[in-house]
Amino acid sequence: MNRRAFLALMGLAAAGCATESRDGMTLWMWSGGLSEKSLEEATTRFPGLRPLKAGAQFKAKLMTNLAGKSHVPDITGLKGEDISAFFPNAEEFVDLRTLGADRFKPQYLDWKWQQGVTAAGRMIGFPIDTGPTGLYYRQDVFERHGVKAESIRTWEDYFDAGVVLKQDASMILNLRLVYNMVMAQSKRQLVDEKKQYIGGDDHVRHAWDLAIKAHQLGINAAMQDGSPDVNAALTTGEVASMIGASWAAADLKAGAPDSKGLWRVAPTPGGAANWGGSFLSITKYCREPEKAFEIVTWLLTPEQQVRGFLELGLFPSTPDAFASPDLRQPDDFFGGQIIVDTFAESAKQVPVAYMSPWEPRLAQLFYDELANVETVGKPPEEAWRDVQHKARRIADHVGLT
Amino acid sequence: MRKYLPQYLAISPFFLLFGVFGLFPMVFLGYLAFHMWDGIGEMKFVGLDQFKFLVTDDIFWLSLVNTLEIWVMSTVPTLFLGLVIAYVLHSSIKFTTFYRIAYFVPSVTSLVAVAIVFGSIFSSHFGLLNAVLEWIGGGAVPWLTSEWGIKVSISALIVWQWTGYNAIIYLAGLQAISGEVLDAATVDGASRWQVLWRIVIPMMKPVILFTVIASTIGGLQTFTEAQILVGEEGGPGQSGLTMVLYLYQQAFKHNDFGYGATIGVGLFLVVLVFSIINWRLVQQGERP
Repeated sequence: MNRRAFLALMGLAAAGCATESRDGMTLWMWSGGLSEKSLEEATTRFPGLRPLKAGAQFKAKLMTNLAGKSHVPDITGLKGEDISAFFPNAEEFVDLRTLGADRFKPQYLDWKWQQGVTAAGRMIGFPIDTGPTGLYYRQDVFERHGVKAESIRTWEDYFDAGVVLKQDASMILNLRLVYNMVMAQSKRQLVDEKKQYIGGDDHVRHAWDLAIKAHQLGINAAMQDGSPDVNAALTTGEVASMIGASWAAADLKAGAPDSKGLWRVAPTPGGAANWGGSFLSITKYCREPEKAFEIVTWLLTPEQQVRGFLELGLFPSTPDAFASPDLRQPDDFFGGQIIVDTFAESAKQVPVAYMSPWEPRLAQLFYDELANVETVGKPPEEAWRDVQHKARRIADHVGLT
Repeated sequence: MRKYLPQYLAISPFFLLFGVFGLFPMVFLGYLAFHMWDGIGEMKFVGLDQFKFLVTDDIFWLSLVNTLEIWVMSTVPTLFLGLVIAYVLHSSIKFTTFYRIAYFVPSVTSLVAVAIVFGSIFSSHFGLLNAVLEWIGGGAVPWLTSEWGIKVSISALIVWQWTGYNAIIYLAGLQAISGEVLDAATVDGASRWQVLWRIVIPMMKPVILFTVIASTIGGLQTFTEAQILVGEEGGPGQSGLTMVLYLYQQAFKHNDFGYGATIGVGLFLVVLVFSIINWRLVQQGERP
């Protein structure tokens, strides 16, 4: 090849990189976010639909492309914990109400629907799945100590049972879980709709105090999430229960397979809550929003949600799907219990709470200080003062009142 | 100009790549540090607010101290062990190639995979290391849940990964020392120890300085080791929160790109200070 031809080729290659093909409809998702079968059927039903697994660091990738205004997907998944971070830039997404979303509203859980709507009323996320919580517990350990899961209704009941088990097993993995769940049961979080920091108020102090109480009773194993110790402790029964969302069942089966048959699920102490669950959104770069909306609503009908549950354990956001006999199957890992019923009951009672964009950042400060209390022995009052000081600083920094 | 076009073209890939992935991000970082930006929306100019927040941010100073502590705890053993291994390798003749490969493998192994393995070794309740400690009669140490445990674990990982690499560099340095010098010393009656301390190490000074500088730059940017071992928050007491991990957390997890950039500027200043110290050391070394 002579030099001129080489240069011409280089030029062509550069031009190829710069042009962007805008044919068809791209859909970004992480693996395990939507049923493979549903997606496959959708691609034949809606020619031009191209699902793409964007994989790890999903939020960062989506933000990068939105910031660069190029190769932005037409339809994208948004995780429940990330969606509020996009609220300040809600105009990047199509307001689904303009496409007639309200028509579908009665079919979906109200609190879940509200989570996809910004404080100004713009709907940017259409419900995929939910994460209703339950109390996963070890039947064998509970029985040995004469603890009855049915009688655990409140946090106090739960802690009392923990004291009974104490000689033999820890009741909870760590304090963060307690704080997290009490907050998930609350209608108010750390920042309200008026951009006001309310992390020092009574509802937060209540969640904090309950976590500290568990510490003072000594029923926590002080094992931090993600540590290799967790699976071992759940397998041996050294930690006898775990409050988690419906999807945690899959983690439990994968992480503690040897404890099959020993687990059961009961309602969450202190009331229903939700942890996790995702949304589908249509970006403003989508050329055919109507068609995209048609795809989104088809992918998320109760029938497709049943598929998502059977394939991936995605808990439906449509009460119609709960009643499906396909879902209500006994689960051997849980000794033949129909665990869906427990979660379905929880899903109907989750409180509607406003999630501000700053929630994850501020909540992290509380998690860190609770970890300090249980692992390095920081005095709880000092930890509370520190967390308030740090949270206030960040609140001022990001412009909250 | 036209005449030299092919030459310019030949060297252009480096400058293009450097411009796009090196120079532009550096300039943009400086610009970003004066703004409030969530990554997508409008950038808001805030003057020196981010810097005021930085100097009064306890967590930033904590991350600086953490980084320096982990750097010292990892670099000193790495370089010492590297030198010892190189000296031993240099003296023995058998299987040299095998050892060289074996010692080099850790530094090209995927850091994430290594960190996951180390996580299992150091885990508190069911970890390999604590099992051994208990077996020989010592108590279990909460490696990944106590302040110094976390730092020791991260440092141990860095030592494991980079000792071999430094040993290979030292070995090359050793081989460059002329045998005649060493023979002359031996003939004059110097012991092996004296040969090492009085002849080998002084002659190796430039090589040692190179490894110190390389370890400094690497050590101040410690990130993946901490992220995988103790998580994005740096673990209990945030003892494993390094400066780069803090930057990553603020920018990419909490979408505060302005403040992330400001931490980047802070990191730059710290690296600058250390570079000046290193530079002074090199200057001193060159004076007789």
